[in-house]
Amino acid sequence: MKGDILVIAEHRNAVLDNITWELIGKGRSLADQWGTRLAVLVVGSELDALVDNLKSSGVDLVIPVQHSLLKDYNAELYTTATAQVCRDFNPALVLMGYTYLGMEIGPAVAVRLGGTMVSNCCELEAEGDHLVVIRSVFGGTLQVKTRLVGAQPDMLSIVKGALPRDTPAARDAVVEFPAIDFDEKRLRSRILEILAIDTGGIDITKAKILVSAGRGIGGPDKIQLLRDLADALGGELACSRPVADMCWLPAAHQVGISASTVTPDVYIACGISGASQHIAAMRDSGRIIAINKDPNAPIFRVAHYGIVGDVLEVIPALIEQAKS
Amino acid sequence: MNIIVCTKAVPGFVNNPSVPDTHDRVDYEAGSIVINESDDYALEAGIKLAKKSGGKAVVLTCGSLAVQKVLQAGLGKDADAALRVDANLFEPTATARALAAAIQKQEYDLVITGVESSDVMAAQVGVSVAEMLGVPFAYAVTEIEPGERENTIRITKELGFGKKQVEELDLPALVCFQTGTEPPSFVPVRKMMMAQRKPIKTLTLNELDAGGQRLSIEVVDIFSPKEADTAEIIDGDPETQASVLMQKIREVL
Repeated sequence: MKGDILVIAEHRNAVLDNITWELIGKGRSLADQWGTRLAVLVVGSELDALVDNLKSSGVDLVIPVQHSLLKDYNAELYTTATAQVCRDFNPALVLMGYTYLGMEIGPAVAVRLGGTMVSNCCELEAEGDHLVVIRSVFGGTLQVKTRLVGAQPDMLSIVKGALPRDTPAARDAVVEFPAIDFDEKRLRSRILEILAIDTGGIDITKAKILVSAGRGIGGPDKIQLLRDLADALGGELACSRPVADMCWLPAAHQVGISASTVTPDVYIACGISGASQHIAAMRDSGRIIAINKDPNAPIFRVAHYGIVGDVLEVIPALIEQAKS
Repeated sequence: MNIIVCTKAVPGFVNNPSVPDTHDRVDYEAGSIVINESDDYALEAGIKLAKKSGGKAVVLTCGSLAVQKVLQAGLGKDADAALRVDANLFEPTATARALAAAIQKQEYDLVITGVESSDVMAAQVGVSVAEMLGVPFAYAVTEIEPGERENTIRITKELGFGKKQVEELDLPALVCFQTGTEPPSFVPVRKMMMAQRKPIKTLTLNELDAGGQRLSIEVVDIFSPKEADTAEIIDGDPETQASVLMQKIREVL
């Protein structure tokens, strides 16, 4: 199963997303262990700066797929490009983020190539002739260790922030532009419009303190209590996806990979269990405080300080302390 | 528009998980069986769109007899028919093959699935089914309506980072529905009881020619995650906890 490794890069506004560096770091150490090549695929319309950046990232090969049709993200074109690059480069292992990109195109590419896909991984190692991964199941309360024994390529999507961000030594990478035939007439999906979620002037990404509400607070009537704490601390209110879904708070407050990624000095997670999509978007906060009834809640695994208990008992006491 | 909604029954909570010697699944005692959250949103959107466009909605699942409850919930929400593939599969690709084979036997314009199940958490089945059927797809969809042009749909999907994208997809197509936009309705007890009397068609993997697949992943172990080495748990009564916490907060500000 040893063979070349391909990382799928992610970028927005001409900046590479952190997941790319995390994947390159892990890919480099595996490629060195196997004595194989590490390549990175980057897809878009104007890639010169990104290619320059990736050339010195420690990979052996940069594969830019550049085309005017790729200006905006079209899953169909991304799938076509990725599958064709995989056919040409023939990697034994493809690494991508467990992000919207990895979730949308990963399984499609895997089916097209007949490969073996395992998603939502937080650890991966080569053991003997096989890759072994650890991934979360049952809402993150349990983890499963899984061995890949199927047809190659092995394709893994990795949770953002789960791997250390190693910076491998730069090497002289080769850049190869593949020729990919995008038949525009055969496209079955068209982008009509790109929308930004209405924030109503709220920007939780700038707050130094976030008091964040999860489903576990019990109901929309408890929001005021958290608002009081945020006010007492001079912070802002944030929330998890279910709270926004249930309209307890507007979507502008939502923390998660679909909404805002935040890095306040203090993040107080109240009744948030900690879905991987939430954790990926707040784990780089300065101090993470988790208050939750369930001692096994995944949020405690990224928190610096934890209180196993009832939000409704702790918060009023905290408000008193903050005011004094 | 004829719509097939793929749903999954998931455990409300899990006791005593273990891996059998066959390494092909995780065994556990399920505390209760519920419909997967995003599938519930998919069901709501699918039935509504089928009615609006004068088509039929079929609710589909893959699992043993015990998971029929989710199909009955679908019938209770006025799906026109229910279909179960009789197989207990753990591997997302195997589930996708079984569902795709069952869908191919139906007349459909659109397939709707949820984004991710709360038990296996793979977020793989929906898009895999689309690719197996050879139809265009969209992930993390929050809105769906008939397209302006014939044989198309107009969808809004999340791109992440607070962005959404509106797309037009040619039919047939598949969309993976995200939670959020329209809260799923509750089925009244009387309707649920009526739904329990409705027939549910069953297909086996042999009938679908989807059996005998080689395992491509082996489950080695299942365990509780490592105790965090970072989290310092603060004990005591709420006042003590609050006082210690406030001190910790003041340290960094």
